[in-house]
Amino acid sequence: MALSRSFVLGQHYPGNSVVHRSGALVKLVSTIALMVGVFVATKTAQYTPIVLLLVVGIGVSRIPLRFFARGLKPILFLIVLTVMVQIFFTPGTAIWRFWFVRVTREGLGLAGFILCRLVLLTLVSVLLTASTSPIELTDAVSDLLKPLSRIGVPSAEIALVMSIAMRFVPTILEETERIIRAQVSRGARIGEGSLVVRMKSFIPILIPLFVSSFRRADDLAIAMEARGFRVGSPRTRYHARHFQSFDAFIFLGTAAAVSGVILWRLFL
Amino acid sequence: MIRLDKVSYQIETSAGAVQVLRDIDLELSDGSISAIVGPNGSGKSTLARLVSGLLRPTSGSVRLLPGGDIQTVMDVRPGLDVGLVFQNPDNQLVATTVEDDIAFGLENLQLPHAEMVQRVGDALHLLGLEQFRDYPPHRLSGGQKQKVAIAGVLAMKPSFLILDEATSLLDPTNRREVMQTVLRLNGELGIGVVMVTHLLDEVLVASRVGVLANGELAAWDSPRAIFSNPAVVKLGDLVLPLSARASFLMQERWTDFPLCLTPEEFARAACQLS
Repeated sequence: MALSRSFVLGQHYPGNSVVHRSGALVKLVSTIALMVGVFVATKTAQYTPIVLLLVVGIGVSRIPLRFFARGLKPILFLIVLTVMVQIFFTPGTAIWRFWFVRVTREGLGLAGFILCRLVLLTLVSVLLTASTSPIELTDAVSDLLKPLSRIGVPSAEIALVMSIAMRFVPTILEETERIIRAQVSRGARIGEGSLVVRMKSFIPILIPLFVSSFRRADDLAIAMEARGFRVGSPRTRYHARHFQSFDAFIFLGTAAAVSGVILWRLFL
Repeated sequence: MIRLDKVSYQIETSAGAVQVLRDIDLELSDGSISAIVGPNGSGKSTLARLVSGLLRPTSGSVRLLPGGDIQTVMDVRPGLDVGLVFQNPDNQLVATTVEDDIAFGLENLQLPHAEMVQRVGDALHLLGLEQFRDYPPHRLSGGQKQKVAIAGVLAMKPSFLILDEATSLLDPTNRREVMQTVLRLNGELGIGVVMVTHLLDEVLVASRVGVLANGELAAWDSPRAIFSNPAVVKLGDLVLPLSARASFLMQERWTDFPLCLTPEEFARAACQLS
């Protein structure tokens, strides 16, 4: 299905590399740490340690570069818009001027910095989700939230909800395509006309989609109950966790990269 | 054996109480194949959920008698004693891969890891799904998805398997494949099968067929006895298999023409005429 193929962010790319085999919890914590590192940096050069680690990670993962490039596609518009705003609306020393439009040295620098930030955040996320199966990822989220269960946060249920949401993304995308085809075959014009008209044209898609999704949710709840699921009841795990030697490398590499960013910002 | 004694089920609606099922008496023997038929709204799916332990009857009882032993009567435990497979396979697969979906029920049973691995492997083998172990459900055909749903239920090792219109959304090829699989499992594992269906061709393999009409069990007999009883056929709004309908047409001309349930039976009877 075309719609479901176009979303790479969040998709798993099956493989057997050391990155794939590494613990999901280590990868998740490293991703969060790297994202924090990306936000800590105040200059483009400070991204260097994170970029180096990411290059190694992508290389070792053996996931094709085009997969990462496809991951950037959905946020391309956001990147272009943000970069343009920085280029044309940042005050500073003008290096090019036409009528009322002017490009400043500071604007270009800031645009490059923001571009790197958005690309790095996306690539780090794609590497995590591409190298980790959804079920491992949700188990990792459950582990991460486990301490919060002492104060009543249903960590296992949150992880299960995430897993089910990921399971149903392709199904709901297929359903959306089916509804669009059905409406178009009956003369509906989707995405044509002015902005208001275009927004209105999505109503006949969204209403049946919501109705069928609620029906699905009802059926799924009964099916889960029929297979012994009870909210709050303890469950065992099919996927056993084993510490991999590469986990230590990821942990140390992330610690080094994030420390590098912090030290660079503080002392250089 | 599962025994239903005077089972009634009532739901409360804004318009008042609605009696969905009334005084159902039924015995489902271990290893048998049974079927429940009837028009829409007759209470078939509600009965399936009562038998599986998902619903509690308003009155009466649904009891499991392991090996038919009345000394060890117990309540039915959903999933563990009775597995339920639903109509739409898309709405019952929980996990992102076939393997993980089969393991879902086992995780709920809190089984140790080694036993889960063993049972998942066995279920994949039993249903011929080994090559789809890592597949996400959305990449499977309807029949394959339904097989995964059956595998997930079978991994929990229930004594009974209820198919609630489990083949109604499938094309004829997938339908035949799923039915052949279910019959094979009944033969190999001795698992009791209850088919809730509109498709009367499917109930021919059942030893007993229950006809539900207006929330009551109008008949509980062999397929041949059910199909040859015009009052029950009318009450259950049953569309008989083509061979049975053709037999009745033949009986208008040859009064002693037998009731044939399959094309093979019909061909044999027609040959004897000539």
